[in-house]
Amino acid sequence: MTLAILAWRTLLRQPARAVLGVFGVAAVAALLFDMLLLAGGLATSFRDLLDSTGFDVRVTATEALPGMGPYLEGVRDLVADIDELDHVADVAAVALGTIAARGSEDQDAISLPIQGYLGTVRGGWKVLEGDDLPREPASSGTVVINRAAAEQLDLDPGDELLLGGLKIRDRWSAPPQRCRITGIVEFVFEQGHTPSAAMDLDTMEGLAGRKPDRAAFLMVSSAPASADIETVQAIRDRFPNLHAYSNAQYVQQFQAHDFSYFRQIAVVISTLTVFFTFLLLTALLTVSVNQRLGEVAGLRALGFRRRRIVAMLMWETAVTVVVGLVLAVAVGAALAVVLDGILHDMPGLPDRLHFFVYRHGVLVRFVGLILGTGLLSLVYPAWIAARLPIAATLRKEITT
Amino acid sequence: MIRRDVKVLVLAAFLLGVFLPISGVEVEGASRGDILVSRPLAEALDLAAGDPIRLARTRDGSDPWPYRIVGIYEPIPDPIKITRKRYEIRMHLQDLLDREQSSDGDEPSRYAQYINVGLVDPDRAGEVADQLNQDPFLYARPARGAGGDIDVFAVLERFHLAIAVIALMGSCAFLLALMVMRAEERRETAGILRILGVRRSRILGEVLVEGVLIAVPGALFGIVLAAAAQGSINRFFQWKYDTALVFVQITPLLAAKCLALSIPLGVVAGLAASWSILRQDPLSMVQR
Amino acid sequence: MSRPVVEARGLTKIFPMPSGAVTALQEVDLLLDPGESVAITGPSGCGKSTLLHLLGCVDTPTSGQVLIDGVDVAGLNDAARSRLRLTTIGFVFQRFFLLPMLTAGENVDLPQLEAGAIRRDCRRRTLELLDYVGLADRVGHRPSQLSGGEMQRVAIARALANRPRIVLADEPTGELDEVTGEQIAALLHRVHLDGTTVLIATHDRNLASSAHRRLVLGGRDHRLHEPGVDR
Repeated sequence: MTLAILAWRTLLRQPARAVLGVFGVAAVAALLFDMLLLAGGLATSFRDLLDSTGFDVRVTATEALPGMGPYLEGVRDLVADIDELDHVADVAAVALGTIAARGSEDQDAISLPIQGYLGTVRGGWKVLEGDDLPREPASSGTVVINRAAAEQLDLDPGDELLLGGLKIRDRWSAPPQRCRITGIVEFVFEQGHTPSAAMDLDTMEGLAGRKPDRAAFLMVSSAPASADIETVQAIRDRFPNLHAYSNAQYVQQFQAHDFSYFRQIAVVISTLTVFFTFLLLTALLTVSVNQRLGEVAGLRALGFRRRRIVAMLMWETAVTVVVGLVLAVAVGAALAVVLDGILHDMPGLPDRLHFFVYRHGVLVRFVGLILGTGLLSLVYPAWIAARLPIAATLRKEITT
Repeated sequence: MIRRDVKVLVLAAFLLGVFLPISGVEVEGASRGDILVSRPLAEALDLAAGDPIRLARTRDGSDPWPYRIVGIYEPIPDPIKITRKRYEIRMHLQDLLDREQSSDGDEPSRYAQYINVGLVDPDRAGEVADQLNQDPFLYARPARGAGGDIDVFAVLERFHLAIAVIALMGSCAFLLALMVMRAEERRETAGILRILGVRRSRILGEVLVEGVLIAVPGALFGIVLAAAAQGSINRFFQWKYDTALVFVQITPLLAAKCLALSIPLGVVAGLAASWSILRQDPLSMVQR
Repeated sequence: MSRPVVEARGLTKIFPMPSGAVTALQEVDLLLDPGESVAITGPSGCGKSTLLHLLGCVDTPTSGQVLIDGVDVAGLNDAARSRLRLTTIGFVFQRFFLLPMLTAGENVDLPQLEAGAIRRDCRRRTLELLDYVGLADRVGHRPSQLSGGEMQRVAIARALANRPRIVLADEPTGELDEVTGEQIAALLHRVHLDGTTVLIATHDRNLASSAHRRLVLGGRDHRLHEPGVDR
């Protein structure tokens, strides 16, 4: 009869208690699992999004996030200058804007966020249907739109998109401009059912009827032999007034300032959860041991050593905790989807940005924390069992 | 239709080597050269209303311009930026633009990040936005409607509520487990009472009364503890994050909700656990 | 002459109580030779169980010495005392203390496996012992499926599992009816006849009379006496 089997049989003695104990551990540990996913999930997801554009360095005019700060001026010259740096493989500039868009003249306009793109290497979207924007200068007058825009405006690749213009009482006081849709795309930073479009910067400026020659940010990819940090330093050295960040630095800045609330709350709730698990497991085990003092005294009288009794309790705890832990991972994964859905209602979040993201090491940290908590919660009940006065307990059992 | 440009916010500028978000605010009849300083910044630099201050555009503080602090303000708390030091100042937009023009070489960047527009007829906000959106380099949207309805706090509240529900489920399972053990402990006593002729309902009634006697003071103690701790929790986190955000607030409604939830839960858990024992044959209950 | 299995010298046990110290045993001397069967009788609360607890190394005396097989147990640490209980002493309790989640067979297996026995040998010994106590057909039954007398017989089989030098039985018939008590007395007598030293604490006259030697504990001096000796 191994101690593990003995512990298992002890748990089966009160199956309701054992099952409820496991459920309790599972629920609280699932919360802990989710908080560990949350603690760095947003940063990981953000990093994945940044990396998926194919560029590893971002350049802005100030420390503010792209689109949140002043524009980069003289962007064509800037792109050409940066492109000449040794560490740089490709550069793309992105101007952000919005324009009234229609699928046909009799349609109501929608506000269509657009990216004006300058660069030969495309990044920031994936073509789902049709073709990408042409790479040659003749691309002017073409546009790619996302699925939401295509559905809202009832358009397909090859159709014309009517942009700008002003219609007052069903009459055009300023006619719209027509762009041919080359393809339906999915943007990396796409938000829900928000329609979006991308076009060459030339096309965007053509729509505006002026040439501001400015962009919200640049995306730079490092040469194969260069590290992103080297590219960042090269840009900073050459353009001290610009702000260049590698994706990792960008994420770091993002973590430190924006959305750090979630990291903080994850830490606070993780701490509370661990404490809560400790408290509840201790209570459960203590009551369990107190109910079996006679048995423990009997085993001790038969010759069971203290450490064998403690080991038996440890097995009992381990079974509860490990089964709860396995359940917790399953429950936690399901809960993470629900909680992510709740937080995703926040305004301005890209669809592909997630709060609860599994990362290497989360499971190890989770298992370590729960097992550690289980061990800690064992200390008091184990102390009771180990220090039990055998004779006094036997006497008490007989007289009660 | 557009009444006036009321406020323009500009993000830029630096102070004493620290990057500092500045809000340039255009206010009619305001006195130039006056600035407002955020409370965290005033505390960090030991500044007070009436103090003169010099602001420079460069990290080394060269070519500074004099300003006068006319007031200290508390930045609007933002849970999303809770760890960000709110070192901020607000100045007149023209002061900021003048400062840009004075710098050497480069053409000044005369950009405003946002323009908040108050309309004579707010119902025509969509129409005005359409007019402005002819230019792709402008993005205009009605303040209410397009995404403006979604409140970050409301989302966070839903998130916190979901976490509370999970924690509640976990504690319910533990509570029930403890109650099952308690009931198991009293199995023999209950069996003896049943053999003596005491009805199940009577024993359950006793369990109910006992449950209420435990649950009510327990729930009240919990609320008193939470109320007593809220001040310390708030002070700690307000100190940690240097914010005016209130983190914990025990309102009478919240206390009532807690009571309404915890008392029945405690009582029902006790009853459910006892019922599982009392359903058994009295003789099997007393057998050891 | 062979060495005594158990020797108690001047055993005193005083329990400190809030209302004042209570003396349970005072200068008790006892010598048990191998193969002896001794019954200690006396009224409830006279210190019988306390004496057994001291001799069984589950409690420590206020003063005095307990020697098991010539070894002073005071010098043993907890692990060594546990080992001594496991291999040299067999305990039979008034309330059986069988583990309810184990079958009769598993309860008898338990101390053998704890002592390091091989599973196959252990199972053979368990079946022998359960057959010995007349419960060969109850190997797979849980304590809740056994009568009081059957539970005590399983407890006796468990006490004999590691072939102890001495069996200490504390009120083994205390929870049983007269007829069942007689069966248990007979069983313990058989254990003694088969060569195991048996020390029984009881106030059951029938059980006491089955012992080879009878001692009385109690009175104002809290000492052991031969029956009929003036205290």
